[in-house]
Amino acid sequence: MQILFKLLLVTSLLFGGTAALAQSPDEVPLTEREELIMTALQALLGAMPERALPLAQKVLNGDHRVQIKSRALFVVSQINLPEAQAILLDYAGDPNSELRAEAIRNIGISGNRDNLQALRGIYENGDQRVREEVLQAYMISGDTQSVFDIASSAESDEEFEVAARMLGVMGASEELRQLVRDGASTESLVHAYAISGDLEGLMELADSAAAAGNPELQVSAISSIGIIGGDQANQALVNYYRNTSNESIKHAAMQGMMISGHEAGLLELYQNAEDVNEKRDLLRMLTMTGGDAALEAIDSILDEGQP
Amino acid sequence: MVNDELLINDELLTLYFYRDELSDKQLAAIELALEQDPSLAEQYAELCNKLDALGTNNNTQAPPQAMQRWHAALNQAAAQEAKTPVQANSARPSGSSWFAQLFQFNVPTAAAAVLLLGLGIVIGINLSNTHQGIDPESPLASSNDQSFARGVNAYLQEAEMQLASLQTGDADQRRVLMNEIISRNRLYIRAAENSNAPELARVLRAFGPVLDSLADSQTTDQKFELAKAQLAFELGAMQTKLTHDASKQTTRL
Repeated sequence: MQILFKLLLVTSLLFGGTAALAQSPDEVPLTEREELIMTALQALLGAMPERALPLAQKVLNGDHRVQIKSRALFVVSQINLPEAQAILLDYAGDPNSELRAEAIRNIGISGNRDNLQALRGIYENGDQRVREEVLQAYMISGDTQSVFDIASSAESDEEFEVAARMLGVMGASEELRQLVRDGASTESLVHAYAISGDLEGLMELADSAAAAGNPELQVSAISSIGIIGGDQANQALVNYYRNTSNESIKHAAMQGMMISGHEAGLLELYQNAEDVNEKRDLLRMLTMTGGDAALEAIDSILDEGQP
Repeated sequence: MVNDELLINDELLTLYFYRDELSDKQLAAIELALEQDPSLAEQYAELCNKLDALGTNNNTQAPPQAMQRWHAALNQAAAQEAKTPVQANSARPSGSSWFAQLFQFNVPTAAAAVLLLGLGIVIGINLSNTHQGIDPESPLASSNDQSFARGVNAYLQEAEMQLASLQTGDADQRRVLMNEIISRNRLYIRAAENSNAPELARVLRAFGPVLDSLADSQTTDQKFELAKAQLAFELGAMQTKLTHDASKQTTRL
């Protein structure tokens, strides 16, 4: 029994040790001392910047895990001193630093113009991950111009898509419209417009796609109006449906209404439709909205011909 | 409550409270619903109390026209006191009436209290900009609205408490809770932008991707805990900063 107990004890120690070794540093809970350091870092934001910065630097230069140093970088981003901005740029510009991503993010948070400009160089020389981090930093800082510049000078469709999507996230409707005016006309702009909620821009895109003989883009733009939602978008979709005899456009408008949940519009179109195939398509779309209007339409079918 | 066009939930009522991002038709529909549905009106009154950062006993929501007249009166009164030219146009589009809508006073009380507060803040800002310790871009240095700062602080506190209770396990609860925090974060981003508090707006924007990560059920448990810890730290840190900045402004009033 004693031997068995000793075996179990040794195994558990080995297993415990192995488990500890197998865990990444981030998985290991913070020690009490580390918790205190975190609290101290928070408190630095109540101190004079000239006093806070050296202490934050001490944490950055000390033997601490990345999680703690990342918090120190956040504190540095809140200190409006040139030395603080220089620290952020140093880490952001170092491709070997574990804190690079956090530093780029915190440049966005600090909003320092010179550092934001410097991020463009980091973007140009960075891989896809670094580029996305820089775009996030621009989003955080509200720097729509920099993202627009990246989109305008994109060297690949993929690069353009990512930048355009970020403009959508930032609600940068004017910049997106400028991209269309400059000749860009891609699927990624459709998503960006929808994300930004720019109904007018999306309709403009649909119309310019039609004029340019790009039916796929036109269809995509019309159905994406449903993502924006709201009264004006719903009315636009109904108008697109009514003002065309093109089946693809009608279907795109129906899809848009389904996405938007505009069952009232679909029901009205269903009730006014005379062609049985058209009624069938509208009814199918109505049932996909899952609302009461579908039941109303089904009820009317069942009532037809009843005395 | 559901009317023909709108599902009126807390989020829509919050947008109504701030008169933000709603069309005239939607505003009218909500006003009508509030008049006709006592339970909805009660729900809205509770929401107003939560969003009211001033702690005043008078939580009556003034109509938008009254807000505009009141704001114009404040502008004129402040200008006369400071002997600066009066701005000609006091009418504000609803999207930028954030400052006015934070105040829930009766008009006479508001005019006197805000005038004193406003003057004090102006004086405080002028003094503070010469002090090396004050960050000139701090939310309170650039925003002339201490009540806005208190509102933000209240949001940060509440978000921190809600975050503490967040677990990976219950996906539905997590989604509902995170959607609420994400919505409020977006509102306060717009508020910070409208209140000329760009530094605060940047921090709140930075919270966005972290909040999205917490809301995403595909986020691994480890990443979830790291994101939660990061956000908890940053929420606490910003509360420290705002409280520190507020105390410096108060000292100078």
